[in-house]
Amino acid sequence: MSKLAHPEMITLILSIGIMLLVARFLGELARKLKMPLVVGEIIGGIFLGPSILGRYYPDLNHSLFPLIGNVPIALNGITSISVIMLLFVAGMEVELSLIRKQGTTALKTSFLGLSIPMVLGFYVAHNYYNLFRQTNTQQNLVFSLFIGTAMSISALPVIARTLMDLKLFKTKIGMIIIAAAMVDDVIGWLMFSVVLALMKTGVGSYEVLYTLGYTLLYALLMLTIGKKIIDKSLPWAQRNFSWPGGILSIALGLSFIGAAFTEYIGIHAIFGAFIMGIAFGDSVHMNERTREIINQFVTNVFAPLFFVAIGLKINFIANFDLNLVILILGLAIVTKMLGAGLGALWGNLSLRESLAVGFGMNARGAMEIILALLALEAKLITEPLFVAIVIMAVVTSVMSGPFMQWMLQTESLKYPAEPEEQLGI
Amino acid sequence: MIVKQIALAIAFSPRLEANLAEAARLRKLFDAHLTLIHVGDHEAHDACVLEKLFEKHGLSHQNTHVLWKHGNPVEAILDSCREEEINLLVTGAMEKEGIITYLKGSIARQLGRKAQCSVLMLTEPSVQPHAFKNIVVGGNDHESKTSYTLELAIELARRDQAKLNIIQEADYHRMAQLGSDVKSEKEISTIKNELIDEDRKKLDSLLSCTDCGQVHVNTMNIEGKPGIAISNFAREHQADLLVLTAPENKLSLFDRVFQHDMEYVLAHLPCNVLIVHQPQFN
Repeated sequence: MSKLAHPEMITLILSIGIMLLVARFLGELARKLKMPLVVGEIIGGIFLGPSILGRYYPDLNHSLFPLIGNVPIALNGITSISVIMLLFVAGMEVELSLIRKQGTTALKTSFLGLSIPMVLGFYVAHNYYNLFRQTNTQQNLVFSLFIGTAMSISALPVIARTLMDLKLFKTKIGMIIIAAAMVDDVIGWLMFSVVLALMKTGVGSYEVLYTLGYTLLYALLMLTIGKKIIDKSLPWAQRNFSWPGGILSIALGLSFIGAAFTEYIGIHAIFGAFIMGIAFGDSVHMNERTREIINQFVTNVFAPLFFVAIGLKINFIANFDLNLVILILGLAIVTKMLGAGLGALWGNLSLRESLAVGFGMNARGAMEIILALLALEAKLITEPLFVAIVIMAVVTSVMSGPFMQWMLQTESLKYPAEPEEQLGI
Repeated sequence: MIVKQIALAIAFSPRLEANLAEAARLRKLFDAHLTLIHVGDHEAHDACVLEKLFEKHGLSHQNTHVLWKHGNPVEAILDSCREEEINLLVTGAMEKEGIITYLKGSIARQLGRKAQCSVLMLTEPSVQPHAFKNIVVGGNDHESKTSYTLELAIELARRDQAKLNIIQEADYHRMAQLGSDVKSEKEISTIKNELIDEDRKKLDSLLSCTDCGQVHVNTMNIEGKPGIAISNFAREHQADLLVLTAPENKLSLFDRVFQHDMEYVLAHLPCNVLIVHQPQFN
């Protein structure tokens, strides 16, 4: 078995150390500025990558983060594992019972919030392909499907945090938004897995139908029989294995097996991990501390590596295209606001509440960035488009809270201040 | 009066007398009318058995009558409840059922899932029934429905002089974690406490509209998956009645596959369970 040479090993571990530290410092800075941690992590990558360090200190940049040899291959392996774990954790956040409880309003919000951005995104990309600076015209259909999917995704953690900050999390509107975002997540990742499969098989092939069938079958089996098996096995594992190490190993082991299985049947590995995350996270025997440990482990170690690595791969300055950024940002905001807003109106919420739902669901967050990076690696999108999507994900996440608050300010009768505030105490 | 019309679904099984004795106690407690519903042939011997039981448990034809119905047991019982404007349907139920029976649905479970009136499922009925001593009530906010559930539970506790635990259950920790990509333990704990406070305020406002009288009410917020958490609480605290608000819609097979909160309770009844529907009839 070939292995890393001694200097390569030093470079690899040094680069991982630097990536983690820079991500942490800038991530904390972003948090202080009330922005998602991921913003700081991406900026960290931009500093360390070709955009800034590579531009001013190219030798240092190349010695720390070489582009050729075994080190980038090893680093790429680590980021691939990171994305699988990130999707597993994202799946663990989906709560099926919450979706069921919120019923038709959440489903209507989700349905229109998903379908309108998808259809409009597809339409614009398909008919105005050149505007997206794409060169490979043979993949127009798959690319258009990708844009549709990218427009439809919502970032659950960003939305949840915004609702908590606004003290709306446990209100009716809050629960509707959360449930709808969860549905969007599940369908969005399913759609994206199909898009990636389409790239391999080609649009006209019968294999697409098989892939779609396998995808649905896998999801259905995992969320019914698989979930029951996990439910029955977890108490046994918690009794017999050391805590939290034992459960941590089982959780991550299952996520990798799920990922390997879906990769084998032609769907992307992320979908397997995501669905496994839902089945595992929704188990009634899932200990909250265990959930927290998995979450902390992945989001503090693997997520920073993944997001910093983005900045290492792409030159954000050279690939910045203002027109493309405006196009993607405009398309994302308009389609999501229209879709989720109309869905909420259909679900009998008021106009302002519906607009608030629209702004809430508009946040794209880290999930959008993961989606875009996978599309970039699959050579489905170009680097300028990737940069535009990353900017869109950051801007929509940052604008979500203030705009929701603005929309709900005049709904004060429905969302009254606490009694002490009313009394001026 | 909250409960005016009580019905008991009967079969001529070994538990008939115990079920009847419990229903007779409740009838007396609420000074209500009792309707016995039997789905099957009207045999002279069965009628004779009932007459003897009537006498033994202080029932008369003024306060009790029997309906003999034919057809699908569940549909026939539910139709009778509608026709007789029943407020509370009492039925015996097994604590736990095998997976096939659970998925298919026993008569008691199906009544619990489909009835439009409140349903009391008795797991261990006794021929010498006792008053409820320790009642656990789900206090999660289901808009206007919860206040009626609390009202009924308080009324029952008052009449039986029982202790009342009102429980709010939620995955507070999970919800607190959901709000961000990364949080410190302190932040999670602060958010969790805020969520609990929000729930408490809602419950306080519901309780402020209800006259608790002499009833000893204890409120508590417990951590865990709704349905499972309150079930475990009732079991651990040896409650003899668990009172829950009925779901918005009738429960179906889908709710057993992708489990609804209520289905966690129905899968393994921790004690007697009362599923409360708002009254359809005045």
